[in-house]
Amino acid sequence: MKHKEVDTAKPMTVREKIDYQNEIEERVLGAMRKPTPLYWVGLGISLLMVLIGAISWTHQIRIGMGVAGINNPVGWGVYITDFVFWVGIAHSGTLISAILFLFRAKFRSRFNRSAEAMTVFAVLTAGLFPLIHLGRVWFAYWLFPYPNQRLLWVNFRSPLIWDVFAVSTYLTVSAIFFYVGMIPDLAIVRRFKKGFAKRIYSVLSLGWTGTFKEWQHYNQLYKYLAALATPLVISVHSVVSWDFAMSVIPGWHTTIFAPYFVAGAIFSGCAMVITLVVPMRKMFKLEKIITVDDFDKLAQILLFTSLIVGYAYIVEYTIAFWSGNVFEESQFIYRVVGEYKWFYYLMFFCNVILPLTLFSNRLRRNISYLFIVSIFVNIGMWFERFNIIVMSLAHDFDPYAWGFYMPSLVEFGITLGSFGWFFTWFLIFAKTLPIISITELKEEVA
Amino acid sequence: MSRTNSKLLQFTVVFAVVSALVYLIEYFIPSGKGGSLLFNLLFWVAIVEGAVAVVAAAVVTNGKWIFPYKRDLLGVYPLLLLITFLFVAFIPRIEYYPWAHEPGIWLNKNLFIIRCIVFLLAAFGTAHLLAREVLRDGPKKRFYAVIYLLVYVISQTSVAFDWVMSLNYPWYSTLFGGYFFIEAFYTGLALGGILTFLLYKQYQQMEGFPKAQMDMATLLFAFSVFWGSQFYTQYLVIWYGNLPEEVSLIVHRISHSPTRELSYLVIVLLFFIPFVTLISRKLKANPRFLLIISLIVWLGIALERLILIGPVLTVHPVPLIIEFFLVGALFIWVFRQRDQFLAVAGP
Repeated sequence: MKHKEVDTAKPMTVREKIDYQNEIEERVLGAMRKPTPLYWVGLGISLLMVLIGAISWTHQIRIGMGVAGINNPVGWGVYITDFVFWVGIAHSGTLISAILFLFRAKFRSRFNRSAEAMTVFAVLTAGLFPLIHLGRVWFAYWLFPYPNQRLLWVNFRSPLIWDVFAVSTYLTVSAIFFYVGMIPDLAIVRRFKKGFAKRIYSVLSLGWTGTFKEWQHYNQLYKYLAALATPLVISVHSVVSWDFAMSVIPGWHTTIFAPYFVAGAIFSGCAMVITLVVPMRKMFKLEKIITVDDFDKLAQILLFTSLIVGYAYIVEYTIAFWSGNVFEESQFIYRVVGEYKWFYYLMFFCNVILPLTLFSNRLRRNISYLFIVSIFVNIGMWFERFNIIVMSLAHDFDPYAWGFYMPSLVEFGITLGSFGWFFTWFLIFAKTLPIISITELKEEVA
Repeated sequence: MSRTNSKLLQFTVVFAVVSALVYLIEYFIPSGKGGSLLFNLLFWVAIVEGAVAVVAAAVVTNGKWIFPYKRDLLGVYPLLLLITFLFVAFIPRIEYYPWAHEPGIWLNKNLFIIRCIVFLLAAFGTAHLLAREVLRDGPKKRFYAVIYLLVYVISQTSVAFDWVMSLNYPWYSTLFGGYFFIEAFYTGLALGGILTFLLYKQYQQMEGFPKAQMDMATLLFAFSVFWGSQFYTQYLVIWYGNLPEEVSLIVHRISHSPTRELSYLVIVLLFFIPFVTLISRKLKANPRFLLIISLIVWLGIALERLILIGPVLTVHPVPLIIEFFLVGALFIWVFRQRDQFLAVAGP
């Protein structure tokens, strides 16, 4: 079925406005109705992946960390790669939403809800990995600075502890940002629900009635949260980059890491939003609301951040040789000729070469192509984290201490499980909460 | 010959004459290891490239706030040609770079000169095309804006790595290139702040100006935060790593007076003052205040660049001041003639 796109920038008659607003409600709320078989298939696959992950983790807990491929010197492997990957995805959601709000970008309203939901679920996913990596997960509370009889404190000078605070603060602010943005929409959903569901949405919408005063306070709060979230995200992802940059390991200790990680996070987040929204748009017949123009703009952000990431790759490389530091030189030669060279080439292709095709207006506006590019970017960004973490540890200062690491089946299983966990949450979200901001879309034509 | 081209030819002649004059001042006034010309190059290249980059970025993102400012910000682009001439005058000073007598593959005199001139001319050429296309609202304006921004990033990265970082060899920082093009953008925005005051009466006639002014001031605020974050990010990693080749740059500057006090002052000028004051909507809407803040930002950038080159090269006040005011006078002269060489009609 072909859907005629509506240009909300053009003047509309009152009748057209009302029709358009009713259609928005109908389409978005329609997505929350009885699931289709396709939805159940998607949910079934996701749950199966979660099951594989759960079995793998259970096996690791039962047997011990020896079932993972990590060794000496590569003590950080796929688990930390997964952690950084998911944290990156998490950081971009709020950033995309908050920055686009502050820049008054209209197309934001098509993606912000998915991006914010993605943030919350990705933090929930990322948060699992430090626990998985710990091995003895029941001692996880040792990471927190609590008064104890032995007078032991965590090492506050360690960036890993900064990370604990940074990520938990971020989860709190992102969840609030996500929830506050949804309150007026929850009130709309409340109108259409009956019985127990109506009571739940009534509680969730906090008694919203939509008076002028409520809107006034709401807008102020939302703007404040967006202004708070933007620097917070940048600082939090900078802290994640410092998990590596604060050490003196070749390939890790580099000043560009913070902005490079932030740009990488937006890049991977944009790709993930495209990966999620393209099938969602098709599944819930939202073609009239989320138009090709909107994807075009998101693709431009993807291209822009790809250029920043590409710039960082090139600068890292050139400065390694420019500096005359033999360890840096050796590390960056290793990246292109060592055991993991194909991972490096794959990363470079996915994150730098392939996105360059988005300079073409025609390709940017081809949604199938954009979807494929987004998947490649997700793969490329996962490998970027893998390359940074594993290659530097496998090949640091002393040739005597060099090593090799290959992930085990357990690690693959847990990684697969993390994707299942994330997609399960997202699919549940798509059926229980409005997937697009109804009020913001209505406001555009009001 | 079009009016723009004949005007550019006139500029070229004047720039060549002034550059010759700068050359005489630089080399015939005894000033030791003269750093005054490098200081002037670093300061003015940031303002001119940054001003054009502000317009280019707004064109790419369809920013409506640029409307009142675009013509005036683009009006400074011919000065990129002057900077190229001044760089030619700087060539004998390359001898003072620590690598000059032990040349490598990348850091050798000939390649250094060629790439710097190529990047500066590329910035001038793309800025010229961008200005022409933007002012006539041509269909290729976004294309040229993207090209200019790419050239701008390369050019400013070269300024950072080649002109400054290699002066402090073996010190290195991968963020330094990015830090420089963010700073240049910040100075470009500050030029917008200065124009708000100088051309307030003219701008007031334009539709939507108060909103555009607020946006310009908000961007200045945002860049003060951005600058602060980049500065802190770079500093923290170097401080935490505590590697001799990295901390040397900072230790040399904060161990002695007056670079120690000036270094602290730079942070106050580029971060604290704009951050604290531009939070206020009332102050953002005040053109006189925007002028003061913008001049503070320029002063901060000037001091920072002085500190970066100061301990390596001698910056003698006499040639420094003469050259600064000479280039500054040309800056004003070119700016005042913008309506003549930006021949395409437009707001």
